[in-house]
Formats: sequence, C-alpha cells, structure tokens
Amino acid sequence: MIRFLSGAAIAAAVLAAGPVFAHATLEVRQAGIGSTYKAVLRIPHGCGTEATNVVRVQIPVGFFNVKPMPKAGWTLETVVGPYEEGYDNHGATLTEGVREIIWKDGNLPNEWYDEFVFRGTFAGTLEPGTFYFPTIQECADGEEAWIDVSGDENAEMPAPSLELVPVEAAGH
Amino acid sequence: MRKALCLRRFVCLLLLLVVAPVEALAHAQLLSTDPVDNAVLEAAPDRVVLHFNEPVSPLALKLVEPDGNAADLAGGAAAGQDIAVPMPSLGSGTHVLSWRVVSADGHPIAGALVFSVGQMTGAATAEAATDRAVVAMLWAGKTLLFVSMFVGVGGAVFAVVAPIPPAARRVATGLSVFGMLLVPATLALQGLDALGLPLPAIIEGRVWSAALSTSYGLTAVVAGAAFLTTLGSLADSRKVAGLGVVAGILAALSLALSGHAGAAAPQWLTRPAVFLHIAGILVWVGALLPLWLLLAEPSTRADRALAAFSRLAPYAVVPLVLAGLTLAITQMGAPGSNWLSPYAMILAAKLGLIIGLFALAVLNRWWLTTPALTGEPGARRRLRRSISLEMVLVVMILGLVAGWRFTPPPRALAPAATLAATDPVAFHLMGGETMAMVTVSPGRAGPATLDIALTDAGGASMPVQSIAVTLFSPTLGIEAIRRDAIEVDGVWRVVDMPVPVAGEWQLELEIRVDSFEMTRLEGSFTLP
Repeated sequence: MIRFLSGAAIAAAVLAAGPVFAHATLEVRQAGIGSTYKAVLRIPHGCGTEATNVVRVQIPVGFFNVKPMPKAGWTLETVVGPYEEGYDNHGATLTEGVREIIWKDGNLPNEWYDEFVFRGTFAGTLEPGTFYFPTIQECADGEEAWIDVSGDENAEMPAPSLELVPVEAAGH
Repeated sequence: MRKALCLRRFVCLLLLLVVAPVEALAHAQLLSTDPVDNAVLEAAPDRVVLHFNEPVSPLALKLVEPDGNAADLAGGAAAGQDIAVPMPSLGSGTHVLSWRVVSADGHPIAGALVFSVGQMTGAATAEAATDRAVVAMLWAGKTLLFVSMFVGVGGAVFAVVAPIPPAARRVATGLSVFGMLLVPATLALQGLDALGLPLPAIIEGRVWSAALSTSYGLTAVVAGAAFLTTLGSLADSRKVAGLGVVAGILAALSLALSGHAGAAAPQWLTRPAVFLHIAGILVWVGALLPLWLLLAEPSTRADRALAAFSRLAPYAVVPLVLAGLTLAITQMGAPGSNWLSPYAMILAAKLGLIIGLFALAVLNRWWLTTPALTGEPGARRRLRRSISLEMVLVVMILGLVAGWRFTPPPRALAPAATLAATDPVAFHLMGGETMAMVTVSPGRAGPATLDIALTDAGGASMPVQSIAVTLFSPTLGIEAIRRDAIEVDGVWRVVDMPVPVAGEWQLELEIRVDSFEMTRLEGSFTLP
C-alpha cells in the first residue's frame, strides 16, 4: 500500500509539473537557505532521438557537503575541488567537496525517462532567489546542454533550477 | 489482498493514462529536411519536406525568392510528422523557406531552410511590399504620437517650471490619454509594415510579436509609461512635480531607443544625442500652448511663467540644436549625391521650417518678451500671434519627421550605391565580460563568411569551447538560420553563412565558455 501511495504521489507530482516536463528539471522547486536538499533531477528525453549515455551536473558555489546517489547501470564519478570559502558542517569546516557529478556508461533511450539523485546543503550565506544546477546530457553523437541561467522564460534549454527562500518561509 | 492488488493496478493504470500525454509534451525537433540545408540543387524541387520527431502543425511558411519577393505557402502544407511544402515554380538562385510550426505542447518552434537552384545568389534586396493604407496610417499615427508626446508630456514638463493654465492641463491630459491609445495602434501598424501585411491582418498574433521584437517595441512600452506618468503628474502637479520630469525623461528615452538616428554608429554618441534633442523639444514645444493661453489676459501668473520659460529656454534649445546637428551630420555623411536622396529632402524641408521656427523664437525672446513683461498690450498680442505660428510650424515639422520612417538615411544608402557594397560589414557585440567583433564579408546579400573575434573586457583574446551563430530578421519575416562556427587561428568562422536578402538582421551568438557556462551576445546589423 505504501508503494502504491508513493507511486500515486509521484504520478501526481509529475502531473502537476505539466508542460515543463519537456525540460530537464528538479522535482522539488523550493528549498530553504541553510537547509539540506535532496535533488531529484528529471531527464525527460535524449538528444533528438539518441539515447543519453552521460549525465553531468555542475555543483555551483553555495551547495556543499554533496553526496550523489549511485545508480544501477551507470558508473558514478565526482570531480572534487576546493571551495572558495569554507562551510561550517556541524562544527567542522569543509574546505573542499564535490564540484561536478558524472553518471556515465549508462543507456537511457529517448523514449524513456529517468531520475538522478544527489543531496547536499545550501549555505546559510546564500541570497534568496533562483539557484541553478547546470546539467549536460551526453549522447553518442551530441549533447543536450541545460546550462542557460539567464532566467529568460522562453529560454530553449534552461538549467534545472529551484527557488531559495529564507528558512522561515520554507514551511517546516 | 488480491482485490487490493487489482484496485492498485487499476488506479495506477488510470494515473498512467493521465500522465502519458504529459510525457509526449517535449518540444518538437527538426530532424532532417529534403533538400538538406544549404543544398545547391540542379533542378528546382517541386516540394520541400521538413521531417520532425513528432507531429506538428504549420503556423507560417514563407518562401523568400532570390529577387527578394516573399510568397506565403502556409496554405499548402498539412499537419503531421513530415511537413511537405509544395513549391511554386522556382527560378535559379538562393531561396529561403522560413518556417514556424507548433508541436503538441503548444510551443512554437521556428527556423529557416536555405537552398539554391543552379547557383548561390542573393544579391536582391527585400523590399517589403507594404500596403499603402498601412503606410499612410503609420505616418499619421506617428505624427499624432509625436504631437501627443510633445504637447501632452511637454505640458507636464512645463507644469514643473510654472503653473499650467487649466485649459492647457485639460489638453495635455486629453492628449496623454490619446497617446496611450496611439501606442498600441502604432505598434500594430509597425508590425504590419514589418511583415508586409495588409490592414485586416492586424488581429494576427505574429503581427504583434514581430512589432514587439523590433526596436519600436521597446519605444512603445517606454512611451506608454511616459504618457501614464504624465497623467499622474497632471492629476496633481503641485505635490508631485518630480513626476513631470520623470515623464519627460521617459518620453525622451522612448524615442532614443529606436529609429534611424539612434541606430547610427557610434551609438554612444547618437543615442544620447537623440535623448537631448527630444528633451529639448519637450521643454520648448510643451511650453507653447500654456504660454499662448496664459498670454490671453494680462496677469502676474502669466508674467511669471513667461519669465521662467524665457530663462529656461536657452538650456533646452542649445543642447537641442547641438544634438540635432550631430545627428544630421552622422546621418548625411559627406556631401555628394546622397544629399539629394528622399531622406535629405525631408531633412532640408525640416531645416527650412526650423529656421523659420528659430526666427520666431529669437523674435519672441529678444524683441517681444521684455515689452510683454513690462505690460505693453500690443507686445503681448504680437507674442501670442508669434507663438501660434510657432505651434503650426512645430506640427508641420513633426509631420515631416514622421515621414523619415519610410526613407533610409544616406549613411545606409551610401555603401549600396557604390562598389563599396562588397566591403565587409563589421560590428561589435557586447555583453557582460565578453565582447565580439563580427565581420560579415562580403557585405552584401548572398553567401557570406562570418568572422567572430572574441575578447574579454580587458581586450585579451578569449578561448571558448564553441560558438553557435543564429541569424534572423523580424523585419524581413525570416526565422532563425543557425550555424556552428569553426575555430581557425583564434578566430571563429562560419563559411557560407546564407544572408539571403539585404535588410536589417539580428545576430545572436551562443558562446559555450566551458562545459557548464554559456554566454549570449545579441546585436543587429544592416546589410546594404
């Protein structure tokens, strides 16, 4: 029954997302500044008709302590680099961490849909507003680069994004 | 348990059914075309096929022929995954099929397919066949818009300097309301003119989107804001005198944002010049009607207003004249046959009227204002008569200026008239930290080579991953032609970029700085 309910919830969430489903998007579109966030990245189609083999996500400054979720059928890799400023993680200061997540050697046909999960924490020093996770799908003969962070409503390939809100407004 | 499972399957199936159409809502993509883009064909094709990844419905299909004529082919193609567009009998040369289709998600996508029959050409100029009624109404609309702006917004500016008489306030308010109606009207006419469509097409959405995508779109929005601010300031000018200044600034800004004059190079000079020119006119012309009304009867109020305007006038007129001269010189270029073009004729007529206007202004200020202020009744009457003549001249000048819309300035004509037409067209694009110097050679319609030199803000050459070039023209009604640039010795180049007709083109560079970072630069250029 729980599985059924969660299945129904996912279906309803997908339904609510509506036409934006055509873009690579995040399932949860809001997060509190300073809070932990589980990102569910939705990949709706391949490159034209080609299957997706690689999904790369850039981790921008301000999202730290990042842990990607491994995925069956895909090889998980991360690119680790220094943070420009340290982040306080339960008393310890983090000075480096994941800057890019790569799921590769996979095969997601254009006709199918999949989700890629990672989690991390938004720094308390971030400003309210749109936060982008630029994402690239790589296929055998091309790519779909969801890296447009202009915020333009008519952008062809907007980067997956969410709204950062002050923690009181995030609704705990 | 078995029953529960059954119910579970049923509900999930139901949900899936609802969800399924959502999954189909990806943007359509053009997969291939027949003939392929940029093909040179031996024989004219009897149809062109656009192959999409999902069914689409054609919205607009337009064929631009080598001579620049455009044919509307939207009637001949049916919806489907393959859009087959029957071709009329095609002559030799380069053709452009500009297409716009809508997919299941309601998101229109558009592009342009370039192909040539026999040989690549494209030296034709696209003279958009414009409806005469549209041209006449556009001219009238612009003239009325100018009058509404200078008398309406100008009235609000005057109200900042001196108390405005009630009759002038009523006129200015009325004209501002009228102006707010004129803004969408002229915008629609602009769209019709841009697409070369007749008046009844005014209800079509593409007319409005084409108009908004031209520089006049921004002008219209800012002009609307100027009229709105004017209404606010006239409603209560005592408390919010500052609003009159804001209205004036918005009005001057609106006209600086579009038009031949503001578009001329160097823009750092021409746009501020247009702004100052318009601001000066607002102060001057805006004062005429209130002064004329105030001078009807002797009163201290009238004297104070006249004295205030008389003090202020030089500060408006001197920048006005200097900016006007600057613009005239940039537009006209060196003396020659170009001084006999229709544009020059209008300028000459305007200068003639302006000399008359200045003569009156000088007469008013040096010979009539002082006697009028000392209370000489004859001088007051003469000053009033002179101001009414000024108003007539101003309306005539505004009518002439609205006519400029239909004549390209010599600066644009000059290269076309000589062999210099083959000189490359070069222009700068700038955005954020990135600058691009773009050269289109040869600088005439036809296949061209596009060279893009990228530098950062400091002028150092900037390495990037890739550059995609998109060329489109809202004024010619041609959708995006997209090509990837190839790097050759630090310069990004597109060989055989089809620029099928002369006219105003918009260029967009999509620059992949690195995997995750993209910068967009946009700009426009005119191909003679």
